[in-house]
Amino acid sequence: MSTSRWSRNGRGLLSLHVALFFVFLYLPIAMLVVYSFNANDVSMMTWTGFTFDWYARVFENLGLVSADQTQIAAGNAQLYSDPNLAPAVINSLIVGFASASIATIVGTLTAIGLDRAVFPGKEVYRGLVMLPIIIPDIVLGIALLVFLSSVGLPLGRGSVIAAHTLFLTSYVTVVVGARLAGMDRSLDEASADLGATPSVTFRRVTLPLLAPSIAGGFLLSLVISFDDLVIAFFTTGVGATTLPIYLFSAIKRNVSPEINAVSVLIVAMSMLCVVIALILRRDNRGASL
Amino acid sequence: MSATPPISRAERRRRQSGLALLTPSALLLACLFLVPLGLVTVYSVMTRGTYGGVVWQIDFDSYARIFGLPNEDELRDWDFIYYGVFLRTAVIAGLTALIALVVGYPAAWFIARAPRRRRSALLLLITLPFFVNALVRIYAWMLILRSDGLANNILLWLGLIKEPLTLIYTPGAIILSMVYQYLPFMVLPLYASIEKLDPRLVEASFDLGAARLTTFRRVIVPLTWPGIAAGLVLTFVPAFGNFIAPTLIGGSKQLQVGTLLAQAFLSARDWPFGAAVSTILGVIVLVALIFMVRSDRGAAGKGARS
Repeated sequence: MSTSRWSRNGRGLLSLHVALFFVFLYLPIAMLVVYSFNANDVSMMTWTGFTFDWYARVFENLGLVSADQTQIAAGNAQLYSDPNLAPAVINSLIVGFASASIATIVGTLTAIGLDRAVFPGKEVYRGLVMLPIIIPDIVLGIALLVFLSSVGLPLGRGSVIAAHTLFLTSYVTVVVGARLAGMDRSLDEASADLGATPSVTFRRVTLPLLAPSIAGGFLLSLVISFDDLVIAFFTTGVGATTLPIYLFSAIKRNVSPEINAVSVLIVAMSMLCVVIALILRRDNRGASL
Repeated sequence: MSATPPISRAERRRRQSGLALLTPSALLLACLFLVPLGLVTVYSVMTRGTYGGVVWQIDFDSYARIFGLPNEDELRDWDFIYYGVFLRTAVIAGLTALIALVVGYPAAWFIARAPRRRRSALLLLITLPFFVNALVRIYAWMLILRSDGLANNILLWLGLIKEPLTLIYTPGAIILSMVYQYLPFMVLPLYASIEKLDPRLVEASFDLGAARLTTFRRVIVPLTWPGIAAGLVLTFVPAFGNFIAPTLIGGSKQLQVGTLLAQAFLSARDWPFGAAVSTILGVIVLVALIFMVRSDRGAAGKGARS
């Protein structure tokens, strides 16, 4: 490599830039986590001491612990009790699992289909599959709102699931498609040569090799469904508020220590799913070598 | 393409099964993507219904309003307010993309030239924030930029300022939060391009006596152009349609295309107008994507010639 031609100063500056770059990328999230334990409820960003209170209140609002267990003064508990949080979490879980499940099936079929089929306009179709995740989410959200209400379908949990299924399918197609592209076709051929029927080959060879990426695609879909505010915002109806919509309206009203705690819990859950997805992918790579 | 070798029966069956496997996604895309987008385009040339929805009568007035044309029936004079909205949005999204490029290019370069083992760890560090809830990431910036936020607290504590600065609810705050949000979309395509760049070409340029800046301008930029173009488009497009950042960090005074759209459908209930804005936004996105695909093809062509 020709780094000798770049001056020593230049390389030092580059390392500094990259260090600052990663600080920039992670500092806001780290700050959010740290200050979610700040005891100061008047001025949230002035550190006064460590507390678990905000998490206790969130768990209490979720109905996971009862008020007397959290030892928060009765007056305060009244003030902070929020009946909307638990239904929002439940809605998000239902929407996430339903849409991620359907999208995982449809996306996997699409990836395999694109791998096998030969037809004019295949590249156009590949591009079309990607389009729902490339266009701004507000365009998609509004198009679905217009369509659903014109057809007369009720807006609610079902319409959010349909909307999420659409763009999650694109993500699963990408994830599974990437695995298929790196897969050794000779295994399929060997199976066929040894007399296996196409369906047996698919069940016994292709599917097991794809399984980790399918599971990974499912988990990432779950995270992305949990992440979506805009499309759910436009396609939801009364009584089907998802967690991001709840958070959005709470933030618009005011920032609060409880929101910090909820945010950190969301981040923790997403990271858990992503890490599992990555471990699955790595194991698979090891096995195929 | 011309002389296709004869294909076996097994291969033909494989291809046919492939087509069959594409049916579910074709149905999904048709019903929930193409038809809804088509409907929006149709609605954009219809007459406004009183309580939302449309009256099925062709009327180009929504476009006339966006383009500022006068309308005597509605006592409307020339009015360029919506040009302003599109222009402001374009400037904010454009600056977001450019700043992300300037910040992201050196980082992508560093990662692409790092030892192979460290490379995947660094790439993971770039991708991970993408999976942190977008709303949470904007919320974190609100906590930093508020008048009693972290940035002001630190500046006050350091004695650099006496009064808290107005950081939030400014265009700068929107740009900052969007650069933060879309950096992975910039770095990943840049990385892919820089990784393909043959270091010997840079070496050759130096050997032939080119200065560092000349080498960068004449060798490195053209060869990594597909990554630059893809990064610019992939940050510009979502920034242009962003609705959360202007709502939470931009305040409600200055409209952007995203907030204008939301307003048209949710509060003004003027569907044809919203549909027209959405259609124009869609066309802008399409043009950006065509630019991206063509830059990629152009580079591939150049590579083949050399």
